[in-house]
Parts: sequence; C-alpha cells; structure tokens
Amino acid sequence: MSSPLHLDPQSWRLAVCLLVFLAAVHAYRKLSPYFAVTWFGSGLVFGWVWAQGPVLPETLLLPVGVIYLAAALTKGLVEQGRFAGNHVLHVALAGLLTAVVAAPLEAAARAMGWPLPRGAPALLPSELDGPWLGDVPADVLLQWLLLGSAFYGLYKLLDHSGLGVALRTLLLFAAMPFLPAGVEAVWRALQ
Amino acid sequence: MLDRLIDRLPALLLLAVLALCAHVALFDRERPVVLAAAAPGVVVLLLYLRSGGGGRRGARRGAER
Repeated sequence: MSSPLHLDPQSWRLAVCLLVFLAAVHAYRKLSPYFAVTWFGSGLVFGWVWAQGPVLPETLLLPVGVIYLAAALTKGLVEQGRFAGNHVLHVALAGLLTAVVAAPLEAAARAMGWPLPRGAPALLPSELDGPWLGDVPADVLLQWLLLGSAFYGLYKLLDHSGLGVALRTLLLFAAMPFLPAGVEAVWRALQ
Repeated sequence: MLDRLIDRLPALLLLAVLALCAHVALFDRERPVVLAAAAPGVVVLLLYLRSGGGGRRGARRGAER
C-alpha cells in the first residue's frame, strides 16, 4: 500500500504542537483560563526537566499534551454517577489512560525514528515486550502511567488543598522541577 | 458550531493520535504490528463516546470541577 502523504520528523513536530495547542484551547474554553495557564505552564516546566537529550518542541510538549488528553478522557468516563468525586480512582485512571494515549504515539515515533522525551530503564521482565504492545517496551508504558498519575495527582492535590490561588500556583510551578526526580525515585523503589 | 467542535476535542484528538499510528503502521513503515499499540486507544475512544463524554452534556459535566 502507498500513500501520497509521507510523514517526516517535521510532521511529527507539527502533530505534537497541534495536539498541545488544541488541548489548551479545550482547557481554556471548557475549564477556565486559570486552569489552562497553570496546567500547560507547569507542564512546560515539567517537560523541560523531563526531556533527556536535546530539548526539541516535540519532546518538550509531548508529556503535557498526552497527560491532558488522558485527564480529559478520564473526566468524560468517570466523573459521573457513583464515581463522581472519587479522586483516587480518577488519578489512577488518568495514569492508565496516559499510557493508553502514549502507546500509539510511542509506537509510531519509534517505528519512524522520531524524537521522544526519554526512554525507560529496565524494570519489567523482557517477556512482556513484544508485538502485542506494538514494539513499545512495557517499561516505557509503565513510566507513562507513573508520569500521568504523578502529574495529575499533584495538580489535583494542590487544587483541593484549600490554599489560596497565588500560593497554590507558586507551589505547582515550584514542584515541577522535582517531579521527574519523584518519578525516578518510585522507579528505583520498584526495581 | 465552534463550541460543539471544542466539546468533542478530546475524542477528536484521540482519533487523530490513532490515525497517525495507523498511517505509520500501514503506509510509512508497512508494519501492521505497530497497530497493536493503538488497540487499547480504540477501546477507550468507544467507551468515551458511549459514556457521552464527547457530547455537550459530557463536556458540561467535565467542566464542573
């Protein structure tokens, strides 16, 4: 099969930038300008620290875009009926959906050699890796799961902490450079 | 019209992500095995649409934080 459209690294960069732009539009319009600014602003800080190797637009923006999309899907799935207000379930499912959303992007980028934020150190048995994950290592998906839960959990924790808006925002941005270290500490504890 | 489109953005973005993966798997690399990574995403998309999350009702619910 052939297609007139060939995707190159520039297309990947454009796709990630568009994903984040449209996600920010959704956050701004459907939640609030404050939410959009704090989520994507802190996500940029996080992406800067998280990315290994050269910081490119796609490696910087991919984590915050993927986690936002996962959080929005989670809201649509569980913020109703008996699951409404269950923050622990919400954070756990957001992590799981982060891995689900990241999987096709990781698979496509790995197949094409496009830049990604970082790989994952070996943790899970290599028997888990294989074609059923689209040639994406299981460790990478577990890392995305932890990443989504940590980012969204921190945001939710501060959101429901009862602190003032200014202090909450300051704490959110100040915590972001340390979040990758937190995820790495959990990873080491699991090993 | 634009508002309804924005309501449906999460579903549309997930669909775009799946389409990107499918394009790479079928046309650019011709390795259908890559499609396996998109299977859970298809299930989530269907569940999301079934729950009404992509419609106006769902978006309003989602906005009530």
